[in-house]
Amino acid sequence: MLELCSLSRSFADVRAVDAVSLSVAPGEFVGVIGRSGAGKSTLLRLINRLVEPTGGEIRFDGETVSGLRGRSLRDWRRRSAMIFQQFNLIDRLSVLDNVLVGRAASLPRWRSWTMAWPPADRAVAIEALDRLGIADLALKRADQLSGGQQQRVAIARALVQNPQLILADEPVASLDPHSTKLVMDSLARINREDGLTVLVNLHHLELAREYCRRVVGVAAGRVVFDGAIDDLDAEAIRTIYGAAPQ
Amino acid sequence: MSPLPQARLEALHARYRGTVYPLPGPLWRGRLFWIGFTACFLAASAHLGLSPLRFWAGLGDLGIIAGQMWPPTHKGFLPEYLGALGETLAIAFLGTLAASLISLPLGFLGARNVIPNWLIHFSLRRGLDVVRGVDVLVWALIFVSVVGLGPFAGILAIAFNDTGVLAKIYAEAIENADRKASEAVRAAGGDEADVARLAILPQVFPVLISNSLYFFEANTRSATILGVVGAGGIGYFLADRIRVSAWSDAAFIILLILPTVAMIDVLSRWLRRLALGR
Repeated sequence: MLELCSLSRSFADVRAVDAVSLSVAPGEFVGVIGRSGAGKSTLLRLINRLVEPTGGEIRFDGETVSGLRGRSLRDWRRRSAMIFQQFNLIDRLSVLDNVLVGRAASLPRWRSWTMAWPPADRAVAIEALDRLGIADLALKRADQLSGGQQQRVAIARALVQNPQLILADEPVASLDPHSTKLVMDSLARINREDGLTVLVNLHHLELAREYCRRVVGVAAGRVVFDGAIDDLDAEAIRTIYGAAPQ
Repeated sequence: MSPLPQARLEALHARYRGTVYPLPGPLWRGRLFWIGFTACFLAASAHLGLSPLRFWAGLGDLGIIAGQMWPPTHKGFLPEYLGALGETLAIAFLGTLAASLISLPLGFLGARNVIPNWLIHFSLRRGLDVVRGVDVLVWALIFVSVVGLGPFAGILAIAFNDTGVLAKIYAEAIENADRKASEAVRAAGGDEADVARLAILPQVFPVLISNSLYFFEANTRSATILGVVGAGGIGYFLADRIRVSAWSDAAFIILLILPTVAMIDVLSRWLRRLALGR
């Protein structure tokens, strides 16, 4: 159970995330929707602690993760895997090595620094790639892959972190429709088969309708809608997106 | 994460070769690199007769010299030292300026996206290689013979050597410039000169300035050395004092150089930030 209690973050005098309270049950697939700049990205980054909150609390299974430091903070980051809009792969490394970056936090330092990954971890990585249908690309350089393939590498990297939570920040915003479907289907499958909680930022309403049962609408840093996708009527859409839905 | 059973490992290994266990090719390439590296290190050390023992013995002498350096004194030569220090700075400044001015047209000529002519490109690059292949100290010795002792030889040496490096860096910066801007100028009816001036120069200008400033910093340091071979500046005094083992005088000169170099570093960092517009 992930709980946010009046979580806030200000940048100078802009309140990017403003007293957000939210609870997400294990195994949920939640879409976070809203206009660009509404604070969706900051919200996800706050949960992973890439951005420090200026107020409020984050709790996971009763543990307060907003106060964690050092090793335990890094372990929380391992447990709440991030997926980024721009994939954030290391271009010059192979696909396999990129996935194994997700194992770095679970291995001794000398292993990750020399990139002498144990065969057992390499097998876990290749199996994750296999699940996403791109195992035959394992030895290619990451920058030789298409956007959709790169994003699936990033999902594999998230998977081998052995996370309890997947935070996907606009995972399909830079992808074509075909890749979008592949990536969203992969996320849905992981949610279904592994029972992983997934929070995904989307700015396309259509995708939210297709994949999420629950949506959270964010406008100007505040949660203005939280409920089943079927309850998202024209009125709710207006509050989330302002005058007209994009 | 529960570890996979060995049988599954083998199955994955059989299906996707080189993933679970690295392929022998890349594995041995890595190992051979380190074996070769270690061999080179040992061979080079053996050839020069290096041993940790000799280093320790030398360290003792260094301690004695360091002792003789204290207290640093100038024995009334301070005005001469300051004058020579100014000369060193002037050599570095004028040398870098000359190199930058020569490198600007050469950089454009040497950039493949500006001059697509293979022959010009190739001959220019090889010419620069030759200029660069000779160290600044050797150039200084040559120019001292040509124009005589003094700072002019130092300026020429720095200008020559740096042109070799800067023109190459400039050319590469120009080649890495965004093509979209060039296309826009061409589409608006501009010729190649317009493209160079309006599309490429604004993009690369901060990079060029930034590199020239780095060279100015480095040249302030290397201009000190030029004095040793008679090409003007503070280095002349430094070499002279070291030659007669006047260590406390040498220490004074070094202490004079250090804050000067530090000041130039700060100044050039500030200018660089200004040029980059941050």
